[in-house]
Parts: sequence; C-alpha cells; structure tokens
Amino acid sequence: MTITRYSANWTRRLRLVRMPVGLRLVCVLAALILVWPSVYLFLRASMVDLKAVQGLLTPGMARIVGRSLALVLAVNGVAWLIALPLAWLSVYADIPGRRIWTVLVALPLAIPSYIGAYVLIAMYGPRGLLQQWLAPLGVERLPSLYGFPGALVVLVLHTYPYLFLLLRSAMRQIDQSWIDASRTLGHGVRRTFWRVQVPLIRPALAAGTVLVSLYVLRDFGAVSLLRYTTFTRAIFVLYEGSFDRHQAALLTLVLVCLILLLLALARRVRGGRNVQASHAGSMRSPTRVRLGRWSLLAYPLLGGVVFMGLINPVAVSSIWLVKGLRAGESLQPLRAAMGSSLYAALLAAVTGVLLALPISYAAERYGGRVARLATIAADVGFGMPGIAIALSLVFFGARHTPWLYQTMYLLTLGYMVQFLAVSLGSLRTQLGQINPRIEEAGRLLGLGANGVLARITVPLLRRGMLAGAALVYLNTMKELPLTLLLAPTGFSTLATRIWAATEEAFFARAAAPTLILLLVSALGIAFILNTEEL
Amino acid sequence: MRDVRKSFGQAFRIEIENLQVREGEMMTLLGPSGCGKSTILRMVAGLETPDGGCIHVAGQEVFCDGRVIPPERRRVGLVFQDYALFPHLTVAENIRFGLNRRRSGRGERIQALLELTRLEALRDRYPHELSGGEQQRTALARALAPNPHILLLDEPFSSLDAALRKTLRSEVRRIVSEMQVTTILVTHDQDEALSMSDRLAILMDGRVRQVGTPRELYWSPRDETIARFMGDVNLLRGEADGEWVRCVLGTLPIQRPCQGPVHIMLRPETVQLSLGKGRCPGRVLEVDYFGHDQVLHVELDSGERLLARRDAVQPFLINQAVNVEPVGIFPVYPRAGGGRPG
Repeated sequence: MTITRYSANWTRRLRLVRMPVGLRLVCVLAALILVWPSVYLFLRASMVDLKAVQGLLTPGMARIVGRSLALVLAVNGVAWLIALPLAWLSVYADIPGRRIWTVLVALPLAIPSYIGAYVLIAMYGPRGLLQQWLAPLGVERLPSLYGFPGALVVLVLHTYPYLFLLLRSAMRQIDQSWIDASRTLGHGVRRTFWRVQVPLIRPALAAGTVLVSLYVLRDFGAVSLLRYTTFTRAIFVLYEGSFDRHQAALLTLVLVCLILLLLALARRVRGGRNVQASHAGSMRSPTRVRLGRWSLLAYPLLGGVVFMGLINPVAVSSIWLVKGLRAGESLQPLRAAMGSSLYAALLAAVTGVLLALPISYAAERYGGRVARLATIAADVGFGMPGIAIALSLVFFGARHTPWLYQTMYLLTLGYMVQFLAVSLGSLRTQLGQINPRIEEAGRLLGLGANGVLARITVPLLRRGMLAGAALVYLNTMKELPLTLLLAPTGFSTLATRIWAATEEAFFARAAAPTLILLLVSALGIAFILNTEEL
Repeated sequence: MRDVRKSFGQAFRIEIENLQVREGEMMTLLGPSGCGKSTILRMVAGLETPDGGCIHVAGQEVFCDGRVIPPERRRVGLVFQDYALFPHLTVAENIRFGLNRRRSGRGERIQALLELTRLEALRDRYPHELSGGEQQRTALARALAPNPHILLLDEPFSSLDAALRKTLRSEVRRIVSEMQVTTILVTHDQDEALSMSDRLAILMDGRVRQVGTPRELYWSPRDETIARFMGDVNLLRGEADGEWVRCVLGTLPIQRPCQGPVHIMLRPETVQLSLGKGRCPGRVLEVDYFGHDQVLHVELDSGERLLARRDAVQPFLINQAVNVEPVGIFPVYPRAGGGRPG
C-alpha cells in the first residue's frame, strides 16, 4: 500500500513531462482491445429484437437469477462461518505451528473450482470412490450431491480463503493498545469486542463478501460440472444448443451488468474509510489466547478444512490415477494436453508482459487520463467472467473476423483481456519501487529516453517482469471457459481434459491432469508467498 | 502501591516497596528507558498483572496477591504513549467511548472536555486527520471523560517534536490541574519531570531510588547516579569534617554532617565567576552559548575542571582569566576509601 502511495507522489512530479505519442497510442489501443468484448456484448444485445428481450422475462430466467443469488448468499454465509474462526485462530490463538496452519488453510485459494468439483464427484458422486468402497456393504446409492449442495461445498472451499486472508490482515492491524484503551475506559472483554474489534474488521468483512460474491457469480467450472444452472452454466448450455445465440448474449449481458455492479461496490468498499494506525510507534503484538477446552473445536475445524481443501484433492486424484494405470489407461493423450497447456500459457505470459510493460510505465511515470483508461480497462477485463469474454469473442470472431476465429491469436487475446491486470499489477508495484530520480540521473549522464529504458528501467524491472509473467502463466494454465470456447478445434489442454473427462465420468482420465494442475496451483501460492510475505 | 513485584525472566525485575501518590498531586516516575516505568503504569491500570504485592487506587484495593480487579472496573484513565485513538471513531466519538450510555449529561460532558482541550473545531475529524498534538489532546480528553480516580500519562510527549512539546506540557498541566485529578506521569526526560510535577520518583533498574519534590531531587539527590541523571554536575574530591568540607575551592558548607573522603556535588548554577584574580583562579576553556544562558568550561589553576552556568549577559572569552566562587550548601557522597555519613 505504501509503495503505491509513494509512486503516486512521484508520478505527480513527473507529470510535467508529456507522455510520448507512441506510448499514448499503445495505451489507447490496449484499452480499446481490453474493453472490446464487454462493449461488443452491449452492441450485440442492442441488435436483438424486442421479442427476444421479452424471452428473458420467463420463469426460466427467474429461476436462474434465483439460483445464482441463493448460491451467492449460501456460499457467503458458510464461508463467513469458516473464515471468521479460522482468522481468529491464526491471529490470536496460541496453537503450535500457527504459521503453517495459516498457509495450509489459505492454499485452496489457488486451486481452480472445476478441480474441486471433479474431486467431489470422483469421491462422493455416483461411481465415485466412496460408493465403490461402500458397495460391498450393500449401499446402492449415495445421496446426490449434484446441484445446490455440491456447488455450495466446492465454492465454499475455494472462496473462504479470500475472506480468511482479508479478515486475518484486518485483525493483525488491530493494535493491542486500542483494546487496552477500551478496557481502561470501562469496557469489559465482550463490550470491547463489539465496540472496537468488530467495527475495525467490518470493512474487511464487506470487501471479502464482495470478492466471494464475484467469485461465485463468475464461476463456471464448479457449477457446470455439478449441473447447477446459474448464469454461467445457462449461458454455456444456450451457446452449445446454439439454436438461439441471442438468448446467450442477453443472459451474458445481464450477468455482466450484475458483475459491474459488484465491481463498483467493491471499489466503494475499498475506497471507504481507511483504517490505519494513528501513530508512528510500533504496534504491540496481540496477546495470544490459550485455547484450553476450545481446542476440541479448533483442531477439528482446522483439520477438516485442510482435509477437504488439500488432502482430499491430492488423495482422490492419486487413487484414481493408480486405478486408471492398472486398468491400462494410456498417458499418451496427456502428453499432448500438457504440451498445449504449456504452449498456450507461455504465449499468454510473454504477450502479457510485453503488453504490460508500456502500460505500467505510462501509468506509473506519466499518469493522466490515457494511462488510467488502460489500467481500468484491464481491471474490467479481470473482473469479467471468463465465459462472457469467451462468448463475446466467439460472436465477434465468427461474424467479423473469421481469419482470427479458432486461432491461437484469438485465444491469447482472450487470455489478455482476462489476465493482463495480473502482470500489470506486478510491473506497477515494481516500478513504484524504482525511484524515478535514478532514471533522471541516467538522462543527466547522457542517455536518451530509450537508452534509459533499455539500460536502467528494464534491467531494474526484471524481477517484476518475471513475477508478472509467472502469474499470468500459472493463471492461464488453470483457465477453463476461455480455453473451452476459443481454442482451435482439437486443441485440448489439461483444464479442458479434466472438464471433459469429469463430464463423462471418466474419473481416472482426469486424475493425472488434476495432479499436474494441483502442482501448478501450489507453485502459484509459493510464488505469491515468496513475493509478498503473508 | 506496596511491595509490588514483577519479574521478567531472570534478567529483569521490578520491585517497588512503597510508593504513594497523594490525592490531587501530579507525581512523575522518572527513569532511563527500560527501567520499568511503563510496566508500573500498566500494572496500575490492570493491563499487566504483578507477581505479588498490593495496589490500591483511591483507597480501593485493585490488586492484592492474586486478587485482581479487571481494568474496566478500576476507573483509571490512561493516555497511551502512541495515544491508541480508535481509528474508526471521530474525536467526539473517541471521547464518548468511555461514557456510560445511560448516564445523563453525556453531551454536556463531551462539550466541556472538547472546550477544555480546545478541540471543538475538530470534533468530527478522524484520528488520522489530526496532528500529533491534537491526537494527544484527544487521548487526554478521552481518558478524562469517565472521571477517573487517577490519570496515568505514559510518555505523552515522546512522539512530538521539541517545539510542540513545550507548549503541550503547560497545556496538559493546565488541563490536569483544572480537572483536579491525581496524575502519574511517566517520562525519561528530566526537564519534563522537573517542570511538570509536584513530586518525582526516580526509578532505576526496577526500583524506586528517591522520592521528592523537583527542588529536592535537583539540589539534594541521594547519590551520584541520581545527581547525574537530574542534570549537569561538578563532582570534586574533598575531605569532610562535620558540617564542612575542604576541597580545591576552599571550605564549603554541606547539607548533612559527614566525616572522611567524599565527593562534593556542585550544580553549575552555583558556580559564580568573576573577572580578575581571586582566591580560586582559573581560565575559560570553552563557552557553550544557549541564548538564555551560557555554560562555561573552566579549568582551575590546580588542574580541576568545572562547569559554570551563568546568565547570558556577561560576555566571556576563551582563555580569559576568571575567579571561581561557589555559593550554597552542597550535598556530599562518600568516596571509596572510607567516609560515612555522620
């Protein structure tokens, strides 16, 4: 936070210098490309005649909206119930290995939701492991997990870490001396909790709720595999059915509007009153509480969450892998999928950094409206559901640019719209840490603007570029809906392979790609932990 | 406060045998950093539990050998070193925080405190929108609001710059005396302690070394360490004989009768200088000119060096010949190699 604030100061001083025309052009172009899918959705929808719009006002539509909102509410509720005690434990409780628990509990964040769905189905679904183990005991059927319950479990597992991390950092910013002050002013422990701690974590709770809601609304993998028809699944089904693409476009538009609303809300929540320590002195670290009898509740919670979020996925996919290999499943197609995944991700990572470099430089060093336009466009793209971007690009590509349609170019473009914000973020933080005086010194020592860029800025930026590339790479590897809709025919990646195999209940076939992607997820988290110290 | 003990491992412990603060007075705990001052305050407030002993606040026992009254029931006001203002509440809300919801006259009380601390104009600001001095006054008003039996100030000026510190000292002094509340101030700054308190307690290594008025502690410190801690000193070797001591400056009167080899302590203020020759000749080595006064480093012909603080009017030159003449009655401390108080 401080870093960006500094950079803002620096930017202001440099604004006297006009941004070069080339840089301006790149920013404008990038902004146009990044918002194009969203804009095209609106254009496309405006072409639809009124009769189709009336088609939206059907009971079916109401059901979709109802289901989506129900899922959002339920996931939020359960995620609160899990994240609040976990955050409290990780900050205040005197449990051995607190740091390790904290990391373990946060890990499911990085695992894509369709893997969660696959694991759930492959374990507890019909023909899943549990069913097979119980079959000798005469258990014929397990209660169905398709639909709401399954989606709820999977989405909670992959969203509570967001809430957890936000709450944890808010709690850590509560100075023990505020609590002491409240005690000396005549309030007991309980009153202090309600009057000091709760108001101070409320912004984090709000921000977390918005994040979780966004995640649920955007999620495609879990709801479609678990056959719970929310927006994203309905859109996909309509698109696949393909007899009425207008309906799909309209539905996407409704979803996008909902999400834009939430994004605006998120901005307001974050822009709200800044809870910051009002003093320069060091913070008194919180007194750790001995758990005593409560550990009977704490450890099962920690253990259960880690089991469902981490152990279960690894164990289930490992068992299915062994089963598959025993049954003679070939690993040959896996190699091709792996190759495609690596190729697509590499392409996205390189493009992402190359595109982020000029934009981040413009934003950090010059500022101004044009640069802000580009960064906002990237943020909007990042906030869009993958399925919406994909659908928009499919419509556009198929109709206006058939030479782009079903090529790696269009796929990479889709990835850029979705993930450019990620590499942009890394580069901007790094740039913010480089004092522009160093660059000015370069100018005074006789380097031209380009010379400074090549010999000072870019070398100093190397870490940020690497981080940005790596993050885009890892995100792309795990991406599902864009790949599913935009990839050239026959181009199957690890993600699409898991999706297809789970749909058809070939659990063994999905096992190996799942393990690989779990590894990728772990790398991603390790990377984030490495750069920004939990 | 009696027989209060608290140990921190083997390295450090606090032991207070007896320390009393009189009603309505401003008592300062003065000591070098790390001597346990803040911990004592926190024990009085109930934020830290002593290992033993008893603490009474306004006649009521708040701690005695394991019986603990929680901080919220002690009616002790504490101004934290970093103020610890609630960041989510405005100035007025911070002050209101400790006031009972059901009690009538809450609004007037807040208004009165805002006026007293001159914060009316800032009542709706948040802590991060305040300057250091304003934050401090808010913290003070917040602590005073519930009408505490005793007010504790934990190094309240340490995070302010020097200029602000001076004005705030008298400001705080005014507010506290207007409220007529018993106050304990903790500081490591002896100027602050001398100028603000009715009485001082010197704390070193977790023990109270001396209690007294600022005047007593400055002019009659119990030992050399305290003497040095309270200000600049001249320590001269001498031989005591009853109520007089013989040293390079002649025979000087001492505060308590004593025999044998001693150190005599002269504050620079008591060393008078006159131009020209006299009984005790010397020359000026260095002049530290402060504007309101000046400190002269003087070397006596006998080789001893002295500090003398004089008013700023008379000009002195380096190497100027001066005559030294101490004025007053001085404390002495036995020197190694004998000498006991008579």
